[in-house]
Amino acid sequence: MASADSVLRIKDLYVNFYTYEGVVRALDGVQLDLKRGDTMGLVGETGCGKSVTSKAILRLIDPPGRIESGSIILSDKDRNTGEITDIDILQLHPKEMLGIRGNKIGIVFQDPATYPNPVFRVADQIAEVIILHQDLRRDALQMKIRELESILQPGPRPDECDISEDSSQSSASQRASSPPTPLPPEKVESIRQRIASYQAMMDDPPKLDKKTLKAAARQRAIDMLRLVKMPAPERVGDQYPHELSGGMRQRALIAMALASDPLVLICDEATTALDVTVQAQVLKLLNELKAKVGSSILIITHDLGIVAETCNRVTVMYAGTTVESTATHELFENPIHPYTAGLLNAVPKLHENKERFDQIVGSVPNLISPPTGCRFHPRCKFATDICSTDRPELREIKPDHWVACHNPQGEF
Amino acid sequence: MKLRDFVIRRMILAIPVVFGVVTITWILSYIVGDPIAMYITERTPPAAIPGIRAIHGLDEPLYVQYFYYISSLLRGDWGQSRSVGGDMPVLEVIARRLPATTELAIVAMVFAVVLGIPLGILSATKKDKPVDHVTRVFALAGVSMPIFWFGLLLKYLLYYQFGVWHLPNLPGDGRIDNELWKALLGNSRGYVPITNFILVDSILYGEPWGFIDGVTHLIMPGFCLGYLTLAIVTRMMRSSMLEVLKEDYITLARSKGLKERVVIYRHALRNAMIPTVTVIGLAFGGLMSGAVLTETIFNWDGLGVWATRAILQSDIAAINGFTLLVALIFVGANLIVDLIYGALDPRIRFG
Amino acid sequence: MVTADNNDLQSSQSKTRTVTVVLSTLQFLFVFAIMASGLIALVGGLGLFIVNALTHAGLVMPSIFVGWPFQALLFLILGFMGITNAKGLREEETYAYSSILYMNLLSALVLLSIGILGYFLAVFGVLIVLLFFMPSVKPLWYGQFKEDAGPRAKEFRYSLHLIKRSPLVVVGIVIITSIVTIVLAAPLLSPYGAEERVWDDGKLPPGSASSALKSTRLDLVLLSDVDVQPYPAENISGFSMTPEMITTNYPPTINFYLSLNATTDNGTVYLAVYNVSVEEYGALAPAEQAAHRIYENQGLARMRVTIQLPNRTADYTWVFHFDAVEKTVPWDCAVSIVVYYNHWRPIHYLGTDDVGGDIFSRILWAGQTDLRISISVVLVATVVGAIIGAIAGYYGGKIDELVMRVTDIFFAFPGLILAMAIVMALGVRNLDNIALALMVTWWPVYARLVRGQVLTEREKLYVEAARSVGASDRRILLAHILPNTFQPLIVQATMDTGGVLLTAAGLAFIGFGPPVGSAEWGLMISGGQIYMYNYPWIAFFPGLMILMTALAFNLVGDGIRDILDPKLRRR
Repeated sequence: MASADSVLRIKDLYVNFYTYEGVVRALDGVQLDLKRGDTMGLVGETGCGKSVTSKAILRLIDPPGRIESGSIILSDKDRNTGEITDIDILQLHPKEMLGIRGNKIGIVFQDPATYPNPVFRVADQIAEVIILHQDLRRDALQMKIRELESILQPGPRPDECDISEDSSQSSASQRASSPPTPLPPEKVESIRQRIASYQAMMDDPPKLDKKTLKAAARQRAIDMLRLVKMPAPERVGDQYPHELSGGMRQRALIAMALASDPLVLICDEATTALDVTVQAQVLKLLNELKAKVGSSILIITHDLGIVAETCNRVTVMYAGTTVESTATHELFENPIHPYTAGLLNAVPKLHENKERFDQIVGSVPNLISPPTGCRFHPRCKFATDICSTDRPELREIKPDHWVACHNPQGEF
Repeated sequence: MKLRDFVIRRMILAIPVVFGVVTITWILSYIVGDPIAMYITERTPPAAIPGIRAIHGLDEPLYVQYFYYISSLLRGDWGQSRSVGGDMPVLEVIARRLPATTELAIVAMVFAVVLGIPLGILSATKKDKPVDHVTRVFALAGVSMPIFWFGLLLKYLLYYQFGVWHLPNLPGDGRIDNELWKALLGNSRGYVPITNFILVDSILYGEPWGFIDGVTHLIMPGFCLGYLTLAIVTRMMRSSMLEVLKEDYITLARSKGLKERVVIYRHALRNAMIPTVTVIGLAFGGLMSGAVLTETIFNWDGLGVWATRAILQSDIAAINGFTLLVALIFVGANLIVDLIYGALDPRIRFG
Repeated sequence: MVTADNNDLQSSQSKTRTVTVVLSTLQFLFVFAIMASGLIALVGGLGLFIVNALTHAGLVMPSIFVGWPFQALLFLILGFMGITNAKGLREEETYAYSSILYMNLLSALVLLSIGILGYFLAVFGVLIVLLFFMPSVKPLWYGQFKEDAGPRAKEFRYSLHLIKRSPLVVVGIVIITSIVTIVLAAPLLSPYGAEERVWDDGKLPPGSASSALKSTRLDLVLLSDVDVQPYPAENISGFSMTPEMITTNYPPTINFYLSLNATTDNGTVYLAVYNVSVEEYGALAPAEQAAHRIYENQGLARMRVTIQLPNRTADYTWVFHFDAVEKTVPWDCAVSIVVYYNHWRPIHYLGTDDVGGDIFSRILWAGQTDLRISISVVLVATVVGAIIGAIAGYYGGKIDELVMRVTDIFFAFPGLILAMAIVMALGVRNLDNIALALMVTWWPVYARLVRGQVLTEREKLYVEAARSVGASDRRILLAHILPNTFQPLIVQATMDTGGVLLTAAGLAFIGFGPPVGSAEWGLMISGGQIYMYNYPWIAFFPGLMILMTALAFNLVGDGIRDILDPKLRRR
C-alpha cells in the first residue's frame, strides 16, 4: 500500500496572476505531499486554487500567470534499477520539462468534450504520446514475430474485455475468414528461421522505419484502450472523438495519460463533467487501475463523495493555501481545521434529520486583496487575534495529520 | 450523412441561386432595352433580324420568351458580343478569355497561399510582439490598397525605374512578348493560342524561353492581384490560429510533453486550416470574377477587361454572359469549399 | 399646512405634466417630420425612377428630396419606432427617455448625410435630447438610466484602457482624425480651388512654384451715396502692401476715382497720398507729412488717378475730402479706391496634374467627396441591412429563406461589377449614383451579419427568460438582441468604410463616376495613368491618400474587433 517515500512534494508554492484589476494571489504557499502508491484527493471549493496547482506541477501556467517561488520535487524512480533521483520541476529547463510531461507525470483534464483534438483519431492521439516517450523497438519486433507466428497458426486472437456484442461478431467473422490452409514446408521453415533471427535481436533491436513505428505505437495504444476497459478498442481507436460518448472519451483521455506509465497521474476534476452513472464507472476504473499501474494518483475535486470512494489520503485547500492533510478516514472522522469541519457538516447526510443545513458564513475571499494572516479567519467561528496577523503553518498536530491553524478543533 | 449525399444536397441548394441570377439578368436586360440586342450586332444584315427574332421567340408572350431564353442558354447560344472588336458568340469569347484570367488568378492564389499561411502562423505565435504588428500592418495595407494604384506603382518601379537604373526589369504589359514568339517560332504571326494558357502552351510548343517569358509577364499582375488575397489569408490564418491556440486540446497537447513546434504545426494548424481553406476557396472564386482593375492596368486580355468594356458599351449579351459565368463560378467555388471543409473536419462529415 | 404641501406637490406635478406633454409633442413633430420627408423621398424617388426607366423621360425632382432613398426608408422605420417612444414620453415611461436619446442621436447622424434639410432636422432632434437635461425633466429618467448604464460604462472604460494599450489602434485613430480634420478644413487649407486650373502649370513636379501670375483686384473703398448730407470734412485711410502681393516684375498700382455732384455749385475734391502708414501719418507734424507726400491734387468735381507703387512692401495713407461752398443742399458723391497687384500663386506642394490643377488642393477637396460617400454609404447600408437581417433572423421561416436567397444572389455578383451595373441602370454617372449603387451593393453584408448574430442570440436563454416575463417580440429584438449584435456590426462598419472608399475610387477610376475633372481620388489616379512613367506624382499622391485613409479605418476596425471580442477580454 502506501510506501513511506514521497513521489511528489510541493513546498511553499506561490503563483500570481497579473490582471487589469490587480494581482491575483492564486496560490499563497501551498504544501502537498504525495507518497508513492497513494491516491490523494485534493479538495476545495471552486476558486481555491486546485486546478492552478495541478497546472503548476506541469508548468502549464500561461501569462498573465506566473509561478513566483517554491519547489516541486519529483522523486523519479528508475524502472530498471529502482534508483531514486529527486528533480525540482521548477528549476528545470523548459526542454527538460518535455520529458516530464506525459512521461513522468500524466494529467487527465475536466471536460472530455473539448480536450481531445477533434481532427485526429483516438488511437493516433494516444499513439502520439507513446511514440514520443517510449522506445518501441522491442514492441515492433514482438509485433513482427507475432505476425509471423499467426501465419503459422491461423486462428483468432483472444480479445480480453470486449463488452459489446460487436466484438463477438468480429471474432466470429475472424474465425470464419481465416480457413486453415496448409503451407509448403519450405515456407514454414523460412518463417521459423526469421522468427528465430528476430528473437536473437531482442536484446538490441534495430532502429525502426516510420511505418513499423506507427503500427507498433498504434498496437500499444489499442492495448491502453483495452486497459481502460474501452469497448471494442480496435474500432474505437479508429474513430474520431466526436463519435464517442463522454464517458468513452474520458476513458480515452485516461489511456492517454497513462500511456507512458507515469509516476504520477493527476485527475483534474476528471469526472465533474460526466453523468453520475458514467462518473461511477470512471471512478471504478480508476480504482481498478490503481492496482495495475504503478502510478500514484492525485485526484482534484470538489466532491467529497469521490474522495471517500477512491482516495486513501486527502489534502484540503482554501483560498490558495493548504489547510489540512491526512488519511481519508481520519479526515472524515476527526476533522481538525474549522473549514474542514464546516465542510463536512454542510454535506447533507441521510441519517441526519435537520431543519436547516449548517453552512459556513461568508464567501470565498477576493484573491486580489485577500485577508491578512489566516485566509479563513473572517469566516471562522474560532478566530482569535493572532489569526488575523500570522499565517498558520502546516504542522503535524497528530501523527500523520497535518493542520494549518492557530486554534485547531477536535481531539488530539 | 455520407459525403456523397452532402455534395448532392449542396449542389441542389445552389440551383435556385443560379436561377435567380439568370432571371434577374434577363429582367434587367429586358428593362434596359430590346432583348433582340443580345443576339444581333450592328453588323447583322437587317434582313436576318426577323428570323433571329423568331428563333428566340421574341414576338411571343413574356413567359414563352423566358423559356426560350433558358433553352438558348442551355443550347450554348449565349448571344453575340460586340465589344470585342468584331462580333463573337459570347461563349467563344469566354472560352478565349477564361484561360487568361484563370492563369492570373492561379498565380495570385499561389502568392497568397505560399506567403500568407506562414505569415499568419508567425503573426499568431508571436502575438503583440513587433513581428506581429508589422505583419498586421502589412496585411491591413493589402486590404486597404487600391489595386489599380498598386499596379501602376509596380509598373513604375519594376518596369520603368528598373529599366532606368539598368536593373533587370519585368515587362510592363500584356501576357507575352509577341516579338519574341515570332522569333522563336520563326513566323510572322507569333503566338497562336492552343489552350490559351501561356505556360501550358509554351510547353506544348516546346519553347522554354516562351515559358520564361510567360512567367515574367505573370509576376507583376499576379502579385498585384494576389496582394489583397494574401492579406485576407494572412489575417484569417492569424485569427483562426489565435482561436485554436486558446482551445483546450492545445493544453492537452502541451501536457503530453510535445515540443511547442509540434503543438503548433501538427495540432493547432490542422484545426486552424479549416476556416482558412474556406476563405481561400471563396477568394479564388472572387479572383476569377473580379480581376477587372488589374487586367485593365496590365493590359491583360481576360474576362475583366471584356466585362468592363461590355458595361461601358451596353453590350447586353456580354453582360448577361459574364454575369451568368460569374454566378456559376461562385457557386462552384462554394461547392468545392464545402467539399474541402468536409474533408478536413471530420465533425462535418458525419454530422 | 397639509393643503399647502398638497398644493405644492400638485403644482409641481402639473408642472412636470406640462413639460412632458410639451416634450412629447416636440418629439411627435420630429418623428413626423422625419417620416414625412422619408415618405416623400421614397415614394417620389421610387416613382421617378420607375417612370424614368420605363419611359426614358428625363424628369428631375428638387435635389433636396432625391438622392437618398435608403435614408428615406430608414426614416420611415425610425419614425414608426419613434411614435411609440413619443407616446411613452407622454405617459412618462422611463424607458422612453433612454430610447429617444439613442434614437434621436442615431437619426441626427443619418440626417447629416442628406443635406440642408437634414442639418435642420438633426439639430431639432438633438435639441429635444438636450431638453431632457432640464432640471424639471432630468430626475424622471436620469437615475434609472445611470443605473442601467453603469456596468456598460465600466466596460466602456475598460475598452478605452485597451485602446490605449494597443499601438496600432492609436495610430489608426490618429490618422483618421488628422485626415478628417484636414479634409473638413479643405476650404481653409487648400491653396487652390477644387477645379481651378493654371494652364501654364501643367505637369509640374512636387514643390514647384507656379509660373503663372494671378492678378488681383483689391477694393479698398467702394461706395456711392446719393442724396447725402455734407460729407465728412476729411477722410483718412491707409493700406499696406504685404509680401504676398509683391512680384518681381509687376509693380502694383492703385486707382483712385472720386466724384462729387452738388446741385447748386460745383464742389471740389482733394486727394493726397503719403507713403507712410496711417498711424505714422497722424504722429507727424504737417511739415514732415509733406515730405512723405507722393501725390497731391485738387480738382473740380471729379478726379481719376492711377498711381504706380514701388514693388516692395510699404504702407500708404491717402487723404481726400470734398468741398462745396454751400453745404445746405443734398449732393451725391462716389468714391472708388482699388489696388491692382499681381502675386505668385501658392506653391504646388505636390505638383500639378496634366491640365494644371494643383494636386495638393484637389486631394483635399476630393477627400471631402470621398469621405462623404464612404460614411453615408456605410451608415445607410448598416442600418438598412441590420434591420432586414434582424427581422429575418428573428422571425425565421419563409422571411428568412427569402432574405437568404436575395442576399445570396447579391453575393453572386462581384461587388465592383454590381455597382457598375447599377450606376449604368441609373443612367447618369455622378457621385450620388455611385453612393446609391454602393448602398445597394453593400447592405446584404450587414443583413447576413446581423442575421447570423440574431440566430445565435435567439437561442440563448436570456431571450426565453425575457419572453417568459411577457416582453413583446419587438422589445426583445430591439432591447435585448440588437445590443449584442453591435460589436461585429461596428467592426464591420468601420472596416467597410475603407472598403467602400476603395470601391468608389475604383468605380471613378474606370469611368463610372463623376465627370472628368472633378475632384475625386480615383478619378485623379485615372487621369494620371498615362503620365505614370514620366510624371508619376500625378497618380501617386491620390492613391497614397486612399491607401492611408482605408488603412486607418481598417486599423481601427481591426483593433476594435480585438478589443470588443469577449473571448479576448479576459481581465
